[in-house]
Formats: sequence, structure tokens, C-alpha cells
Amino acid sequence: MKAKAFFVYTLLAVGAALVVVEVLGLCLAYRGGGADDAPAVKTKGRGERPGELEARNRRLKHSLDDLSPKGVYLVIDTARNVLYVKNNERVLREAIASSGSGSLLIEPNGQRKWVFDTPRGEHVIESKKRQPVWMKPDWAFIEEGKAPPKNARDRIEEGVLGDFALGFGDSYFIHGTLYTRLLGKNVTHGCVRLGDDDLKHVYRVADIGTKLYIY
Amino acid sequence: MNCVRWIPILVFPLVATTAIGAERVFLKAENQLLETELRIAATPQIYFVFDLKDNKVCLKARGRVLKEFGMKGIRSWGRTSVARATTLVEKSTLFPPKRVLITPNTTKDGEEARVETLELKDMPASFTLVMDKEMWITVRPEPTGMISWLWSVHYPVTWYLTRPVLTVWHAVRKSSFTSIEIVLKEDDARTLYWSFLEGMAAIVYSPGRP
Repeated sequence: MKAKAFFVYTLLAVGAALVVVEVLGLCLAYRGGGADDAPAVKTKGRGERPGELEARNRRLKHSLDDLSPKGVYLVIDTARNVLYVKNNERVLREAIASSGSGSLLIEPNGQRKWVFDTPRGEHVIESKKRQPVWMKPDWAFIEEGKAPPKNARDRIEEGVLGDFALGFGDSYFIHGTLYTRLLGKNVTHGCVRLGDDDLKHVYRVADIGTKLYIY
Repeated sequence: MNCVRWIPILVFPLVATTAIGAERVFLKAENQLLETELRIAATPQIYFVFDLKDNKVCLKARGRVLKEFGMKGIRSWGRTSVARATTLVEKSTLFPPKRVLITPNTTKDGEEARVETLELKDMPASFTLVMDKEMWITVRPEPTGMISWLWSVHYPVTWYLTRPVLTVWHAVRKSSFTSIEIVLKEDDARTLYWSFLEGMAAIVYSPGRP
């Protein structure tokens, strides 16, 4: 009986403490700009007239506009595997792509590991190649359960990257593929694959120095 | 009777002053957003803008919108500045997606071996973005069916039960915190999880909602 009473009183005490904390929290929140109440902009301070503020905002918008990419630029949505060729806000071409699988490869001896992500962020087209040749990196051999060869000639693989390749740094390329059925899926080692026609178009319109945004 | 004639003359300056004040507030808020964005856009990075005024999330680079999705609901608690620049520290979720470990294989070629990959559908739709400067952005999917609607009922209950406790906790520690909850379409929520990487910058624009 005593134990039961103790349990009930403890429960009531905890409940009462919780109510006090809740009320206190609500009071504090409302006092300092709280629940569902994003504070309004302070009107005091620099007493600029609306006209002056408007002019300042116009200048800032111009400065922001000056930063945005001019001419043709590329945007790659790795979540949906789509590449857009854009000019200002206008989409010139939309192409199905394949991007990084996000998989992880660890060398059997555990010394090295690779994460196959397509690098996000702002990039620039650094190189353009016709009939590119793939110099298979170490991970390609390790993935196949083979030891990487000592001789560079044993790394050469022709015809797997399609007709064109556009490099955007750190050995990442936009290139063609033999596995067209996998376009639209995240299956690559970080490069971006395109179908033949789309690749040809991108190769034609994107010069070296073209901005590339990957997200 | 003569007094009635004076009413418009007395009221007009009052209305005009209020209108000018409201316009100035709007322009100052816009100014803060532009100045903050200009600072971030000057660097070669992709960033998010959580616009709580126009209910949208924008993924931007150099001031240019790359992707945009609408918010279906917003709740905010705590101190928020008009336009705050912040950085994603961590994405917190109950079941984070796990990378597939490739097993080196001699019989299959690379393409066949890689059947399981990390895709958009593997991303969670419900998660919390832990930002720097004591800010949390909780993302919830919009309920689509009866079960998910019933499940969504606990969100406001949890929100209004836990936020006061957190407020007291932070007051005791003499710190302030900002908590924002946004509701997105399920697919948009997954896209946000996919695209928003640790270390990326964001701007939370909250000029005071009507």
C-alpha cells in the first residue's frame, strides 16, 4: 500500500515538475521571440529612406547577377541522373545520365579505400578528348579481384568511354558508355555517363572553361 | 460637423507613415538577404536558401537557382535573425542510408557486380539537419495517406512538448537556439537529404511571417 502511494506521489511530482518546465519554457520563448513567431525586422538603426534602400538592393542584385554563370553552363542532378545544358535560366538540353554509385571499395589488405561518388559542387570543364582511351586505375583491377599491373600499357582499354570525354578535374570525366541500359541509374565510379547523341551535343556546346554545377 | 472634415487629414499621415515603415522593413529584410547571399555566392560553392517567407527551399550556385521546391508547412521556435548564414554540421536520422561495400569479384565484371547502389529512394524523408550556431532544421514528409496522416499527428504534439523543455535547458546554459520544422513532399525531402552535404552553406531567411 505504501509502495503504491509512493509511486502515485512520485508520478504526480514528476508531472507537476514537467508542467512547471513547460510553462516556464513557453514564457521564455514568448519573451524572447518564441513559438511560431519569427521576430520582425528591426526598424530602428540606419534611418534610410525606402528609396535609398531600394537603390542599395538594386546594386546588390546587380552584383549577385554579375557572379552568376554567363553563356552556356552544365548542371547535373545526381539524384535523378539528369544533365542539363543551360544558358541563363533557359534549358537548352536535358539528357539522361548515370552518376556515382556511392559504393565503397576496400583493398583486400585494407590499405586503401575508394568511395564512388560524383563530386558535388562547382567545377570547370578542363579538357576535351575525341576517341578517349581509358587508363584503368588501381580500383578497377581490385574490383575485379585482380592485382593492378606494373606496366602502364596493361591499363589501356579502348572503346569503353564512347566517342568523347570532357574532363572536370581529379580524373573525373563526362563520357559515353557501352551500358546504355544503365543510363538513369547511379552505377558509375564517379564519372558521368551520357548516351551517344547527348554526349555529342555536350561536347559541341561546352568549351574548355565551361562551368559545371553538380548536386 | 467640422470635426468630421478633419478626420481624413489626420488619418492620412498615419496610414502613410505605417505604409512607409512596412516598406522599409521589407526592403531592409531583402537587403540583409542579398548581403548574406552575396557573401556566400562569391565563393565557388553550392548552397541552400530556406526561404520561410515565400515557403520555398532553393539550391543555388553563384546566385542562380539550380533547384527549387515548395514547403508544405513551417514551424519555427526560438531566435532567428532575418537572414542567417549557417553551415550543415550533421544530418541526423533514425536509419541513415548505408553505403554498399563492393566485394572484389573475379567472375563478374564491374557492372554486373554492382547491382546494389545508393539511390534517391534509399534516402530518408524524415530527418534533422544539425546546423552550426545552435540551429536545427527538422524535415518531415507531407502525409499522403490515412496512416501517414495519423502518424503525422504526433509531430505537433512532440514539437509543443519538447520545445519549451529545450528553451529552459538552453536558458539554463545561457545559450539561445533556433528550431525550424519544415514539411516537404516526400520526394523533395529525399532530394534535400541527398543534395545537402555536411559542410555546405545555407541561408535561413525569416523576415517575420504575417
